[in-house]
Amino acid sequence: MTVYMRAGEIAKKPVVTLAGDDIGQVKDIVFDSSTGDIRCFTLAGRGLLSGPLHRALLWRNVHALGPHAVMVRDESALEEDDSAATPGEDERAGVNVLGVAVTTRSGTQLGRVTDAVVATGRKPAVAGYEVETAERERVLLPVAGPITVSGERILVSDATAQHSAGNLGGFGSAVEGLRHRPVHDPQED
Amino acid sequence: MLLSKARGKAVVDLTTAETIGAVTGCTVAPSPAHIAGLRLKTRGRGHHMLHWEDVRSFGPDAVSVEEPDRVRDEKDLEAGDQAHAVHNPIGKAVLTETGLEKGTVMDVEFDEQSGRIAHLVTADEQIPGEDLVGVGSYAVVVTAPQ
Repeated sequence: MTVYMRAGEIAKKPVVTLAGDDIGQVKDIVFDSSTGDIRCFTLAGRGLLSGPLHRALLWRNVHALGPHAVMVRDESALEEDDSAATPGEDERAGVNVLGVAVTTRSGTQLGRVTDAVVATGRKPAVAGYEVETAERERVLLPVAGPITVSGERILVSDATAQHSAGNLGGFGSAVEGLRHRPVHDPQED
Repeated sequence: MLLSKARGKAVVDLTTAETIGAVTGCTVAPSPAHIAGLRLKTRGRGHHMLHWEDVRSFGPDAVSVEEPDRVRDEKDLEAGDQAHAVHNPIGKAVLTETGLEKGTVMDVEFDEQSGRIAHLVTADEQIPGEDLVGVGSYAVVVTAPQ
């Protein structure tokens, strides 16, 4: 069973090598605004007084993401600097997934992104978003299949709205529900 | 044998029949999981380390050593050495390869002939030695169930 967690919960988690050494802790999560995925983590040193580490950890170099630690193979998984955390030239500065609107393809605005939901394990991936609706309610929206992301909004399929979950416990079934939905939705209204 | 039972065992110099010190702990290394070194309390200050290869025999009442000069001050060991205190598993959190914590290592069950580790003992379970991936400053890493 896949365990989900909010991306925001990854902050402060230790980064641990398979040899059991902690080589840093997650400071910030950097999203890729062109895909909606996580691009990398910025890191801080371990301990109360240690400052930023200035070495980024790319998402693809994460060995596994768990509820208690971010696992990496060894110290070489870290980049030499943190240039990966700064936006590329083709992106407008300040663009972030957090705060952008989520809109269905048919044009209903579902809310604004407050966090991403990440599937933990050996192949961690962004599985959905936490969205604050116009009624100030927070719901978790699974994403499946092609989504379109720009700096302004995330476009999701219309079915997404029917498979939202109120908390992480129900998110797994929402993902399953969206993935296994009939191709022609019988509940047309 | 459990490490907790081995604690306090005298370490005896075979050439002089004198007691060098007493066992206080161990360090472990993976693939295959084995005892890499013994931590000793000697008469002087601080801790000393003895590599497992330098142990002549691990008897029921004493550990014998042929070359007592192989007992080294813990501070002289480099961090990369498998007998360095950083590889002491006792009291460390067990972390699976997928980043899930499952308790703290309380004890180590090992074979006193080969030094091979049979189990890492936590409060809730016995983790087979072959699951050990590494022991470092932060945690004891074990393989995750598929």
